[in-house]
Amino acid sequence: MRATGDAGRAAQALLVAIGLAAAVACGNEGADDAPSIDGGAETSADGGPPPLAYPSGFPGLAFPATNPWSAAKAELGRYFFYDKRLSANGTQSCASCHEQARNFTDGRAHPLGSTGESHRRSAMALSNVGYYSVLTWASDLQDSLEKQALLPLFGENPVELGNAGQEVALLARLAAEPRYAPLLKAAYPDAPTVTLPHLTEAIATFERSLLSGNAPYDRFLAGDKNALSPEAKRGADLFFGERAECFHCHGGFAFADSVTFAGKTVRERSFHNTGLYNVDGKGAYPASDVGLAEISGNPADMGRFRAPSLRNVAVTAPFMHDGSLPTLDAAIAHYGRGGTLTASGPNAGDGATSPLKSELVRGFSPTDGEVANLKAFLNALTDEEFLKNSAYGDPWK
Amino acid sequence: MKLLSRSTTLRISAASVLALTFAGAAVGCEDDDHDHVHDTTDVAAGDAGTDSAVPPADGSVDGAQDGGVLMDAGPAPLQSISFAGVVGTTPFSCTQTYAGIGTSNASITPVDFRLYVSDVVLTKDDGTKVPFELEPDGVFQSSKVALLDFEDRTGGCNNGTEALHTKLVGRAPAGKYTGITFTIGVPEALNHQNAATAEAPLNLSGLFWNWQGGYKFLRLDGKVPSTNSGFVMHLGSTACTAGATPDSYVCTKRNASTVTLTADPFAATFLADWKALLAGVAIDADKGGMPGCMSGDTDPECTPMLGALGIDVASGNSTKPQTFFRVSP
Repeated sequence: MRATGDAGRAAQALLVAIGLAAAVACGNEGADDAPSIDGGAETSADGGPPPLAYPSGFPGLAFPATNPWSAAKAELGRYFFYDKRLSANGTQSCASCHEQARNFTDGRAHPLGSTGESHRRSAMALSNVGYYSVLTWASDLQDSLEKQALLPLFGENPVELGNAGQEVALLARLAAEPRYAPLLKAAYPDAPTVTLPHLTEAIATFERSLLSGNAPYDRFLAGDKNALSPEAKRGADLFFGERAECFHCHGGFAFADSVTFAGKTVRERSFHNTGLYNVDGKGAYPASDVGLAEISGNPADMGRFRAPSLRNVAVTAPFMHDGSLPTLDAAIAHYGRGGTLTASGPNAGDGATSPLKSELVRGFSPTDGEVANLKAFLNALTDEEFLKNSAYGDPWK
Repeated sequence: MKLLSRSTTLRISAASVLALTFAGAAVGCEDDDHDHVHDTTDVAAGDAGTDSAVPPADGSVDGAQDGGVLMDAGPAPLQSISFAGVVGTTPFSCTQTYAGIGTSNASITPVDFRLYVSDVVLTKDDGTKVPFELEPDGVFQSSKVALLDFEDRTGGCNNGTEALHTKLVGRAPAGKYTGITFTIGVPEALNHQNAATAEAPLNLSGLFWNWQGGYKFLRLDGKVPSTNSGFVMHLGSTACTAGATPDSYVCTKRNASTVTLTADPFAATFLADWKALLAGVAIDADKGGMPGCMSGDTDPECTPMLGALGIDVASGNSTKPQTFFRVSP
């Protein structure tokens, strides 16, 4: 509903398209979704997230009408995000599977929930997550961070934080922690006690504050010609060229394609079968995870997953939805070959010959030197400042 | 609210407060939370302060007061339609293990038993049909959907809620009625909202079905002692795609069950029977997918289990008579 805009918004989208992103952030949006660049008069309780400042070249975030930006909400959300009271047995917080130093992933192919259940999909990175038009690995339906937060909180297949049916106890645990009183008052001045919407809205707001746009490649774009090594520059040429085709799905400021932002008038979201599997010669993925087809019921959606951002990709191994590619070398080899060959076992098959594979994943047979160049470029997408910024860190320490 | 029995009123207090806090925060950004807190506090006072027993079916005075507006004719009186959970001929209880279930005569211990009911229509003795207007109570019923809750958080149902809700409370014009039709399901217009800010009874996390972007219409969960494995029925819409705007979903497999029963709805008790739902499956020998049926069309257990609900697994449509509900003998 917010995506159907008037002519003014369409014009703003056009401005973004031609690269004048900053003009949008300052544009005359409605009060509901106008990103507050300076954070206004809102201040956090004890020096938490800084006022929302967009990296150079980033458009403004499209905040939901029901949950506009406030620094106080982001700070409350940071405390929630790192609070093990969020799990029913007190063993895990969001950060247990989303570690800042790993771009908010956890280094596992299959994360473990609070009761020890293994997740079939790896933890997704959270940098710039506020720009994604859809969330999770393969669902057209997860269209807001507020709703998505309910999955780890209450999901039962698998159990993550394990609160299904136990929301009263969850909220009581939070209400009993005295540090929340001033944070809640700052974020929700009239709220007597914490509620589930406070929880999901504040976490979503904190997540939207996780802006990462100061990698060497960004500094190169901003004019520092020495920010990229010659290798990385050659890697960039390959990455953005029609031979490797990486940028088609991993393009734009977010290095991803299911992206939205303030003023964007068309709801874009993309899913791709990259030929990771082909267990039946007809393109099938293992039955344990068939991607978007599981949600849509459409056989043509077999193996289609959302392209995650490649910002900070060097710290987010293992790769793919199931963590089956352990290193950047393995990921480049997958795309270089145009699909993965699984020689034996229950998932045996050649993804490169999958009839369902994206036409953009056709293989480009890189030389060893080109692999090294691509790796150098991907490493130049690491924003060290973001990974270490204490404003995004654990406030309970 | 006024129709809850004494014990039920006492037991719902926690759930009620929770529902109210959800409602209070379901506020758009233009609104100030404060007003809504007031609104909901008033409801809370009404809930907590009243514990009169169920009135007679013609309790029109009570109904008029509840409606808040005294009109010349007055609203139709509040009436209730009774339901009960059973396992075969035995009353349902979370603390019992039931033998002789399914094709292998296995045993099952309940873990959960709740379902959403909507589109309640009554048949008059002249054959005409009239809607039964659900009375919102802030906990189990809105004007659009009611939760029938047969579990009481005892025994294996330890993620449930203490309160039971085994009656639909609402209004229908005076007359003689001979039948009832209702849907096991959440109305499509309410099925894909943000569950965290949804109005009761769509605010219970045990019924959230977030990975499918909706709610579990029916949750009938058990544990099979002989295999130490769960066996569940999670009914809900599948094959969903989003549209051009957020929240615009289309689910091509609705998987809602239309139930039609012939009896005076205000005199009969309608039974929801585990044994009937599980009659066509071996609950101790899962054939694939999740143990039981999570409404997926490739899960072998779904064909007989959705079949008991009258739902065709291929289309997701309610095409046949269901066998899960029946009229108490």
